[in-house]
Amino acid sequence: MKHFCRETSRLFSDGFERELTLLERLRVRLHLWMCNPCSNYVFNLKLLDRMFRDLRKHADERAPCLSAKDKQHILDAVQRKTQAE
Amino acid sequence: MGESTNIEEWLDDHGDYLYRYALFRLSDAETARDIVQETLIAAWKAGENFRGDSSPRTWLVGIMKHKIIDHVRKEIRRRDLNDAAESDPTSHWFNADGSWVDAPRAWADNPETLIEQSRFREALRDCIGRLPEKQRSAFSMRELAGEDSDTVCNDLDITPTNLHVMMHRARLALRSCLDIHWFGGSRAS
Repeated sequence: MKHFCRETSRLFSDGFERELTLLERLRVRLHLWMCNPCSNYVFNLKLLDRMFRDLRKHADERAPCLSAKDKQHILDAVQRKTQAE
Repeated sequence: MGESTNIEEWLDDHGDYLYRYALFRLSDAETARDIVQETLIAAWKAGENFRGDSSPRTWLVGIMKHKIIDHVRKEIRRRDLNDAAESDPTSHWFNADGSWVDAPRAWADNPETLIEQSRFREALRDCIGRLPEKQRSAFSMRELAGEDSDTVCNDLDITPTNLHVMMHRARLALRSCLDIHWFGGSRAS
């Protein structure tokens, strides 16, 4: 028996990148109606999409910064380079 | 040592911003730091060309963009040679009949508030960091930096179809990684 989980997961992912055709949207919806694992997959991806939106919104307050050690490492390397030239 | 002072100022004033800019597009802390370093060196070398038409930050980001694109394109070309032998990029996740090898399950644990936890964000970054280089860059540019598909295709010099395949594979791998390392799935990816 042929399963459409592979195609459905690909189409659902494509839906984040481009507008799906009506036929593609219907195929996804019909398959999700019958398939629990794919419904879970879609639910998981929708959650991740919301998380990434939230991350981007709060990027400045939550994003990592250069550590003091990293800054020193960069300064040392840059100074070695500038002095050599 | 006037030039070095300039570099120190750039690093103090814009270092964190540049680091995040690179990190959101590369998802690799060490490479992001190296790109900041290369950007400052390139800026120092090109210092005479900075005429003050734009802010120093805009100028530095402009230099950094090229550094990032060069780095990623180089990696993609290098990895493409290794990936050529792989005939079916999703065979790891699906059986020959098209069904899932490991059926995805619902995530519990109040997921809507997870992103506010720094430990979860670390796990998420770690899982993105485990993606193969070209998937990681494409995925990071789209989802962390929020670039649109056209920009990512142009920057990485790939077709939309290539991008869609990369994003599909990255989503499969990322979901699985989080399932195993955060939500308690039992099987290794």
